[in-house]
Amino acid sequence: MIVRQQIIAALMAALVTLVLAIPIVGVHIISEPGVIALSWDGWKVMVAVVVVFIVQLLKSYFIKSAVIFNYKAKFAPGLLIEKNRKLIISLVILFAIVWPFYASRGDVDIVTLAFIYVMMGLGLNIVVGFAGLLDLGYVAFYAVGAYSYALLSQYFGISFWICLPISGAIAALFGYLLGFPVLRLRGDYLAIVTLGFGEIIRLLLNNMDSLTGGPDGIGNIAKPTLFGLQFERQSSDGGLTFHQFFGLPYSSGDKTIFLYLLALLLVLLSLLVINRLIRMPVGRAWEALREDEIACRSLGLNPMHIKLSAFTLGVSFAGFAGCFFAARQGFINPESFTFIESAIVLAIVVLGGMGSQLGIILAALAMTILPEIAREFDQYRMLLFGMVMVLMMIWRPQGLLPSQRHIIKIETS
Amino acid sequence: MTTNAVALLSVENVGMQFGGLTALEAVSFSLNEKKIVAVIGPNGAGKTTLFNCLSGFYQPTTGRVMLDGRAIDKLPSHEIARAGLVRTFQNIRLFKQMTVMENLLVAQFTRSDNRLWAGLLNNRHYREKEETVKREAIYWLERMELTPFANREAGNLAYGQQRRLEIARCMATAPRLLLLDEPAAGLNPNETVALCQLISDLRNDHGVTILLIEHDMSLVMEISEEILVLDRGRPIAWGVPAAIREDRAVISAYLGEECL
Amino acid sequence: MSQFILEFIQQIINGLTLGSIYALIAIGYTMVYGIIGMINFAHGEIYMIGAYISIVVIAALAMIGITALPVVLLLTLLMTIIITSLYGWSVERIAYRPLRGRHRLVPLISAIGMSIFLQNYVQIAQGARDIAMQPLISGGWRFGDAGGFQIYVSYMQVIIALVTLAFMILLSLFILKSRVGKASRAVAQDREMANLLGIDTDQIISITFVIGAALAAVAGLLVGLYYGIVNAYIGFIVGLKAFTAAVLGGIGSIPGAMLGGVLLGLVESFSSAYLSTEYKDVVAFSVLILVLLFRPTGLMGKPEVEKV
Ligand SMILES: Nc1ncnc2c1ncn2[C@@H]1O[C@H](COP(=O)(O)OP(=O)(O)OP(=O)(O)O)[C@@H](O)[C@H]1O
Ligand SMILES: [Mg+2]
Repeated sequence: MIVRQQIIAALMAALVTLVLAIPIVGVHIISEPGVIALSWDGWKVMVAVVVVFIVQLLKSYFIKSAVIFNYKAKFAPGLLIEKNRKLIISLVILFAIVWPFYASRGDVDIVTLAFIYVMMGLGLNIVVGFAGLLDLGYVAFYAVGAYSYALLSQYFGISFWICLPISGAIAALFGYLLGFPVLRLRGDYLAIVTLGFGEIIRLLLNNMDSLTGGPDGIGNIAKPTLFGLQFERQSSDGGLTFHQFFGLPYSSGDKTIFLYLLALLLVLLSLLVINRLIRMPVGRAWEALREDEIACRSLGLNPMHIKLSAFTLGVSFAGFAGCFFAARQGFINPESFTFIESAIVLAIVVLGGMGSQLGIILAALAMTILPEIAREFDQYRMLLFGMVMVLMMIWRPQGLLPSQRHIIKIETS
Repeated sequence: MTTNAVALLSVENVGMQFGGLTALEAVSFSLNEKKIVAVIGPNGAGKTTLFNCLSGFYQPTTGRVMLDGRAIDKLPSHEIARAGLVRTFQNIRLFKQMTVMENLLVAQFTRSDNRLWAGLLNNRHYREKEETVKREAIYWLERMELTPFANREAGNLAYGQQRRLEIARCMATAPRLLLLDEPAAGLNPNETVALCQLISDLRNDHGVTILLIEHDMSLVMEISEEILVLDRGRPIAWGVPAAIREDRAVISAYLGEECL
Repeated sequence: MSQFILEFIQQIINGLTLGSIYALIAIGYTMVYGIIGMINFAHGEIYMIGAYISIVVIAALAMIGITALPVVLLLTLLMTIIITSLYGWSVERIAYRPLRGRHRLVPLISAIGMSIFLQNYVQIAQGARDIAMQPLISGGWRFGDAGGFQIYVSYMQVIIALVTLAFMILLSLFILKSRVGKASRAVAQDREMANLLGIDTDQIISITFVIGAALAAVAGLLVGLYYGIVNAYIGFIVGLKAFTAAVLGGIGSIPGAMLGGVLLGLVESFSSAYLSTEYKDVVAFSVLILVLLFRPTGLMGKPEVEKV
């Protein structure tokens, strides 16, 4: 009997869960100086066991409904969006521009942060989604961008607008220098090497106190200005401030909105550039390389060059994002650049459907905004990220929204 | 084995060893422009290995390979391809999730305008180049009767179409020497006949020299001008089809296999 | 003897202790890689879970009044190995088995997800703070004397070395002599062929994960006893270093993992003594990058041939 087999399997799974959960979830270690004891917390174990039993029992139904879900996601909205693409995009952008003027400061701030992740997701997507190179040290380039701005601004007083391209370029340079030797490694080795690199950068930032301020980081980083107009109550350099120039009453919300619009601008620019890139020969080569490196070589494509271009361009977006991050926060330290950041950005790319830009935008917004809406959810955020990453790999390795291939239309008559 | 001053490809004493296994030993031959030459031999004779050595996927352990008088045996595979030697694979290697059209565009990567700013700004030189590349792709779509499938994913094509696309993709790089690894494998008799015609047309119309591995003897005998026979890594015969047909060494190598 | 030499010897002893731990964990990476060609990114978390479970078992034994040291150690070892192995087995079943035959990066991403999941799972269940345990075994020997410096070898260090050695020997015997060991070598060499020959490859793969987890559990227990401090984050860095050890020794090779572990332990102990403690991790990761760049097959690994 199939039903009986399913019940037995579910019982087995529940039993395994019981054994696994008791020592970790079921007991709580009380460690006070000199004593070590346990407190029993059995109900969580029971919940886990019951949940596993039910999920295991209904697994086949879950999988079936997941398949139906896929089907819909792929076709129904796709057609609608395709027809009115330009209109929808314009409306969304318009909404995004107007929205902060009506939203609360807190919300605007959160979405600004989300935009930083959108930018990083889009950048990492070039590397992982298009070129198929798993980079686990992406945060290193974010850090490079952030520290580039912080240091240039602190030591040389260079403004945000000049530092923005410089930060991107420095990140790209680091990407090039790292990529040149390591990109010939096979995919999974590359992942680990980039991970190691990310850790090295963080450790260096932590330990080169004289330059980077070590664990204390760098504070009082200059905020971006609008053509030289600051968004403070009093200008720090004696010039006019934004509200003085326009004869407005001072409002601290102006700065928030300005930063938001700036982030939006950066995101739109990134989208524009990336959309050009993937339609260019180099973009096609990235995809081809992801699919079959040997075939690429047989056609005269130098895999090193192509990987290097994807890697360098991809990480430059982290540089831009880092520069903006430093400017927004006004303060940075190595804590902001741990492996977990890389993991979050990777999760965004994976959830967004490797290769799909709309998916990445949605995933980045969801990942940053959800934990803010439900504070108590924050604790479980990473737990869920991890779980979802596994489930996505099992069910939909290409992500929630599969990448919409831009087809080069030709007459087929 | 003929040696000629203007040989397009000359292979001198090429050998390949995998650990203790000698997959190729002392293979020498040369190939003039616009020839169609076949490499035959029983399974495991080292035919694919020979192609891998020529196209730079393996580095031959001994010997030299010259393309147009230039040694290529130490070059990486992509540079060999740029020098005009391209190949297909025994188990077709298309970019399966890309469209047929895109497969043909990727093949022309080295001839596109790859300057970053040119593409980002979409300037005139870039647009012209893209136009040329697209025209070339459309030409090969037509030529290989793949136009109706241009927007399909390459992996969804029928087997015969995939084979044709792989050849089209090679041709889109404007090669001088084309290596085909069992192009007729898996084709039905009609398709095989068409392939025969296609191969000689490619040579006649586009001046490409062709070296092919094939098990289908009727095809080999019909289109090749000369034949190289390998057996257990060693070249055992070289000559025109009629001579190969009669060759004792060849017959005994194939003994037990229906072929002639 | 001069102080310099004594200090040098002390670093070797410390390095061997640390290296033993790395070696135990590295074997899990290397065996899994050898058999299914994937980096089990979650292996460091298995080690961390092993450390937690060992503390839980010790505490539980203390609460029910079992305090005789040898009994406690033996029971803890046994229970920790069993439960941690079950974790290793489950991780494979849930997160990797459904992904057989997919692109290399798919199971790797799944493993990263699993690693994040496990770390946060333990952190939520047990709290983010350090858990400290009174050392069960303290004391040691002192040797030599030069300028007030003495070599110190704690009993725990000796135990770590001996236990590691014992498990290495057990594992080697198992791989060489047992039927399962032979089958697993066959699967590592050619999975399809082994399958055709009637070897249950899924089972062999499960056993590989179980063995890896068991050794990681031993490492977790030893670390718990030695340092007495455990938290939910110890798996990440140690896992990365054990992976470095596996790569250094030649990934896929079990003796390589042992050698790599010991070497990395020595490198780390010397770099923290003679360079600076802050930079010991930098040195370890630099070793990883340099080995992968200049000798991706490590010291004892076999080169992988690309089939065209
Ligand atoms: N990368 C490699 N490593 C080890 N041995 C190899 C490798 N490539 C090929 N060989 C061996 O070299 C020999 C020749 O193989 P090859 O593929 O060249 O034969 P073939 O003539 O193309 O056969 P077929 O007609 O079946 O395609 C075989 O014994 C094969 O196992
Ligand atoms: Mg062959």
